[in-house]
Amino acid sequence: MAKIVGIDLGTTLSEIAVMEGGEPKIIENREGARVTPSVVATTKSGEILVGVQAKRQQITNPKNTLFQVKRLVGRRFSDASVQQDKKLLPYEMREGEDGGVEVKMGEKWYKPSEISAMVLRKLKQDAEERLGEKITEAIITVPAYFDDSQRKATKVAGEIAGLEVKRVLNEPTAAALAYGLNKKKDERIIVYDFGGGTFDISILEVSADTIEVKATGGDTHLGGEDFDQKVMDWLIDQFRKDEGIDLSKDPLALQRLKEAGEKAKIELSTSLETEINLPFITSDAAGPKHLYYKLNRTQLENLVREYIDKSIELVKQTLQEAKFSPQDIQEVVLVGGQTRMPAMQEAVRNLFGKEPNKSINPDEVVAIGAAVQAGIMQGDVKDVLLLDVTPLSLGIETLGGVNTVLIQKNTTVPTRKSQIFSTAADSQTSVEVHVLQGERPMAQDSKSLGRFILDGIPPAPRGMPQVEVSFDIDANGILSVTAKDKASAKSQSIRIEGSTGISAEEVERMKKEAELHAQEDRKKQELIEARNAADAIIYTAEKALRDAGDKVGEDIKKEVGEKLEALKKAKEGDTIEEIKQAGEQLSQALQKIGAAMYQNPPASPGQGGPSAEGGQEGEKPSSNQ
Amino acid sequence: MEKEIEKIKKERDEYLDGWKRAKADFLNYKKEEGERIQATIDFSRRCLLEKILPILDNLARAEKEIPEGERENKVYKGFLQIVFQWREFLKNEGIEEIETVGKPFNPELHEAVGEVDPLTGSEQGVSGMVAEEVEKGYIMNGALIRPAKVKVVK
Repeated sequence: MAKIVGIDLGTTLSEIAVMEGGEPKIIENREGARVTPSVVATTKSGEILVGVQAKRQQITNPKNTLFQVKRLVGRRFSDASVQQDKKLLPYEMREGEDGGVEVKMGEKWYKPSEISAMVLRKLKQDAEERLGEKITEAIITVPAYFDDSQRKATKVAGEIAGLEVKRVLNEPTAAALAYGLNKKKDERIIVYDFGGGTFDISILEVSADTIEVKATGGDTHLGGEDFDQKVMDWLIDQFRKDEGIDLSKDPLALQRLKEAGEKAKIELSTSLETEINLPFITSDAAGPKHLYYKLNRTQLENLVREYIDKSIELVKQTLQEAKFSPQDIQEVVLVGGQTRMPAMQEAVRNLFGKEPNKSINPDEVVAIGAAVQAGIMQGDVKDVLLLDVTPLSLGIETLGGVNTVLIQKNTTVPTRKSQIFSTAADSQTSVEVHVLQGERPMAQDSKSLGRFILDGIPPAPRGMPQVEVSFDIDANGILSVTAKDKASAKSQSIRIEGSTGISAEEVERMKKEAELHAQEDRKKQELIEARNAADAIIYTAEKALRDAGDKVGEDIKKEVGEKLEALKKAKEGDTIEEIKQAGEQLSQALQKIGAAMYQNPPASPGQGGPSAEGGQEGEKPSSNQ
Repeated sequence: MEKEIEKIKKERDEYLDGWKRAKADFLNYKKEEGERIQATIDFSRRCLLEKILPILDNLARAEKEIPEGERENKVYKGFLQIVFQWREFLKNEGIEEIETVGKPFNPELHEAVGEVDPLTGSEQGVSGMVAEEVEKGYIMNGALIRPAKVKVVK
């Protein structure tokens, strides 16, 4: 079955998304971008360009480059808004026979829906190329305030582009769907959509199985671009004051200022200060001039405060018209790139007294929501198909009481993981497998799910036996743990039911505890690790002393012996630094044994070389002799 | 009873189908994983480059400001050598500069930032040709990193 795509056909930018493996995903266009400018142009040779290519040639071809056509779609030529936009848009338009708008591109007159169709066709074709399959059905989003005629014209645009439009979906509804708010029955949602050039407010009400638009508001000529302009004006002002030169008269400098202004604005959403560094911005008789200013977040907020205040005023107005107060709203959703600005988020938060939904990329949330709607229609989004995840990590206890995790929390089940472990002492013939659950690094702080013993391991030096421990969780959350000795093929297992069946409160408690104790736990773990490392060195040193016999001088043996005792003593204490230091000193002393052994090579081959225990420190030939 | 069997059979088919689909989805995902990893590597390289290029643009701007006849000045010479080093680095990384002046304007590679009046008697007299490069553009392995900013003959 062919997939239904979701399309956000925007005033300045458009996106297309699809459900893949149960998750909505934005599809990149041919140019590798996730967004496509809603721009169409005819070149002098009659070629039609769509998207970023049309935008790149706009300046040389303003009369034949059509953009923001969404403002005209489905409207009557006599509409006041069309008459206003006619003054702002550089291309020609006239009244069509049906009273609608027609726009001129090249030598031909088009209906706005035909131009939108060209954008839609590009999105469709590029997505087909990416997905490797035909796309015939789509859901297209429109602003909530679009009337019947505008919706119909959008549908027609889809049909011209070869798409069967399964639904014309409201943009705010799509945003709410992306956050799964359709499940919140009897709630009211406000969608605050601050785009590049338009600001839309919608109040939605969720009932049994519909999302109804209760009110809309906003300003069709207010957006993030106004913010960029403010930053640019500020830079021009500063430079005029400092250098006496008016950069607004220099188109190349303006181009650089515009880019730098937008970049600074974006950076100030994540950092408190940014620098605008434009060397060689212009020059006069005295030589080149450089622009360098610092702009901080507060300064930016002061520059654009009027716009934020205006947007909040408009929200209040919309609420009032619908006879709601901010307390009547249960959920707030942010849409549009400009809503990344912390001051804007704060203004919205202050008005409603609650944290807005903003975790999904605000540039993509509408297209994502359209894809979710498509998924619902196709039956991709079914709750019964949802797979469970393990709420807490699962592992076993290893040397020093450490909780070694095999299955991380939030792993989708069914799943299977295994890891090889070994013995901690020479000639150890059994191992105890202690199954743990929890986020704390120490076994004693984790929940014990069960334990069993695997015995019959053939005696061997520590670290030699290979015991494979496997964790298997089936779709019902039943955990089986198996330990198997690779040499003897002996195995032992345990079955634990309900390993995922911990109550939600308990999961929360365990996660909280893990956060709370993170620091002291890390210290404890480091201490254990240091002790384990010390153990390994002690073992090596004792073995080296035994093996060395009389090939090594007494003085060296005495030194190693002393350092060995020192490390053993340090190991009893709780100071990580001391253990590490003593360990290091012992390793250095051990190198002397290695060097001495090489100076007095053994009579028979094979002795004194790297033993079966493998590359222990101190047995390696020393390089600093 | 028969009805029950019918229902169970139908359910079984649904489940089996769902299982096959999930398995196929996973196998396909794995197949595409390599491509995805490569794409991620390319993407992170591009992101880094996009941040480095503006610095190089400024070096180019500085280079343009060196007065004629001063290019042999030792400090300027050293500076030019640094610029040269940067260009070599990009070339060695497989990043090519986009050709501009004297080529026909091509929106796949060029972004128009202005127009100039035709100059008679030269290549730059032909309408639609690139007259001046304002900022260099680059391609990596045939893919566009950034279009060249140019001025076009009216």
